[in-house]
Amino acid sequence: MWVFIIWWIGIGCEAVLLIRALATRTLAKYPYFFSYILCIFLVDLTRFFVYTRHPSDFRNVYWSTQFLTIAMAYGVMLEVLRHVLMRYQGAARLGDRLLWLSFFSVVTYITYRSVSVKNWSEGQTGFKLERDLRTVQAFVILGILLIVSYYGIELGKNLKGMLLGYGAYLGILIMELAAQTYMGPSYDATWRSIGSYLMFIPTTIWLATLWWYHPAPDAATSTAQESDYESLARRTKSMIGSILDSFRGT
Amino acid sequence: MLAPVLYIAVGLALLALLFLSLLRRTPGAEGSAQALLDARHAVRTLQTGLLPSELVERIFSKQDLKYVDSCGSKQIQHLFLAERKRIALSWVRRIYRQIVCLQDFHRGHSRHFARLNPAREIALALEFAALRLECRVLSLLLILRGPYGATRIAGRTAAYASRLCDVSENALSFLTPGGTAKVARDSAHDGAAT
Repeated sequence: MWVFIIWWIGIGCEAVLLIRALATRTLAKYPYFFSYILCIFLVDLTRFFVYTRHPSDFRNVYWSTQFLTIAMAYGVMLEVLRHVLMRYQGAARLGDRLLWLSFFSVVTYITYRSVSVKNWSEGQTGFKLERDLRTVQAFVILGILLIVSYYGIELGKNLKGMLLGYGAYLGILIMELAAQTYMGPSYDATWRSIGSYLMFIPTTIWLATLWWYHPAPDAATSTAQESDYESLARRTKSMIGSILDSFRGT
Repeated sequence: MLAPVLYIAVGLALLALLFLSLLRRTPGAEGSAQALLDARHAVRTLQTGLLPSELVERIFSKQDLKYVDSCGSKQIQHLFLAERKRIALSWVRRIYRQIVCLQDFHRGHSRHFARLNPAREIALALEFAALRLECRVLSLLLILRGPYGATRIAGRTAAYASRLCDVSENALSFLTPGGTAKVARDSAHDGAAT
């Protein structure tokens, strides 16, 4: 009974998020992010239908849709980068490379696993694969947070909420998956049920931060020319090098 | 056992960084005249206020210590050492603050450039971090060993300061818009163009 209640609350929260996005027109502002929300909403509905009508097919549907939602979750990161890109081209370029590197790592890893794993078992192989893919995403979010923090970029309430919600969910989920894959079948059912509640963390944060449209603060326009970057970086490097030399040479 | 610990560490690091990002202060207006003024002020402070070799030599000179020693009062000697340590620490802290200011200026400007070089930016970030760490180490040494605890510290600091003076001049040049001097030269010396 509890499973169904949790399920419907989750679906309800996702539906409210989508309705609010339509009502406040934030859907057009954050298309990648709301594509992800629409994806998890449809996936939850499909899973519910399969669980109640065709329980024997549930495992297959679960894993195929689970990897779809993992891939779609890149939309959250893409959305943040897209909005940063509008304002800080240099900082966003760093993030862009990080995102592509991560995507390439994921594709390589999945190819390697599909070739190397002989005996596929949902219980272990599926959880291990999900744990590893989520960890790659965690590194991308860590990278984005470091770039945002290093360059002092103000994200605004909406973008901050997207990163915070998905980041917190990822952080807890990775720890849960690590425990689950380590303990195997002895993993307690009570702990296993925690996974069902985890999705409430991002949806609650997203409901709170995306209820209204809060654009990220505008960056002051820089009057510097592109050719000035080389000069700026070269001189800064020379300055640091000389200071470090003087520290170390004495 | 190592694998789950590593995954848990990644999860915890992510949660910690998210929490820290919530606490992060709102940055000032980047690329603004205020940022340029702050950076200019930082270079001037380093060049004229903190780094002249006479000042450094004065702070770490043993002449004053010899004079206080000659008085023969232990109490005055203790008081003098404590005060000199405080001054030396304050000097290092001020240098640290100016370096942070210069780094903020670089970050504030470089993030706007589409042709930003990621490898170079990472290298610069690491070098700034090393420089700040060296300032911290210097502070720690001053706290633990005192301003005269080791003559090498004073020597190091004096040499460091004199070289930093040259460097700060270089730093000042990138804060000075290149075109202004040329315009001033080319003008009819009536000041109208500049």
